[in-house]
Amino acid sequence: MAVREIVAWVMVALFGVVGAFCLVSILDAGFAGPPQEAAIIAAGIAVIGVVVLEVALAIFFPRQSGAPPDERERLIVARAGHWAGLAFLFGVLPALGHYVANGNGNIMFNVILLSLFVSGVAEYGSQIILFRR
Amino acid sequence: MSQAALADAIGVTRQTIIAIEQGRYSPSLESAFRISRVFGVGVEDVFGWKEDLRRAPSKKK
Repeated sequence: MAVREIVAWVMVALFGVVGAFCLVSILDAGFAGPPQEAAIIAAGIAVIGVVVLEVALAIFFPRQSGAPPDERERLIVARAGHWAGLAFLFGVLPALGHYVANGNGNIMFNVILLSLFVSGVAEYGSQIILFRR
Repeated sequence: MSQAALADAIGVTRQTIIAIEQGRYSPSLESAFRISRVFGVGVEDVFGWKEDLRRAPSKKK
């Protein structure tokens, strides 16, 4: 398994678990509720998790972590990024439209925050599928 | 020659070499030439192509 595929597995697990935690906290308070501290902390944990992962890769796989993606990996990363962008767009556009129509910024915030996690899962999940195809 | 050695020789990952061998990925022209040079043969000695008969152009007069 390539290092990039290992990274994709870890990231999809990280975004999935943290995103699910974020979703639960938002559902508990309701989408129209104010930004939940737990949800914001979850987003911070995801960022810290990414940093820790990068440091671990640099320590245990120094050559591969510093190497640029090869031709096949570049295509996979580009394609997965495209799908992640679409996934993010499907969350952001309705959130913005809802805000314009109703003026409720809380719903917009919560939907965009969740869209970030969905987009992350979509990107790294797509990479895994494309690496294995 | 191992897959890892070939991968290092042409500048791709071992997984890319595996994908090429299994027909799941077609390398770039540059990589194809690099692979051929590693083995000291021509590109057509290493790579082949089966024309897809369903998509073969019809001959019109």
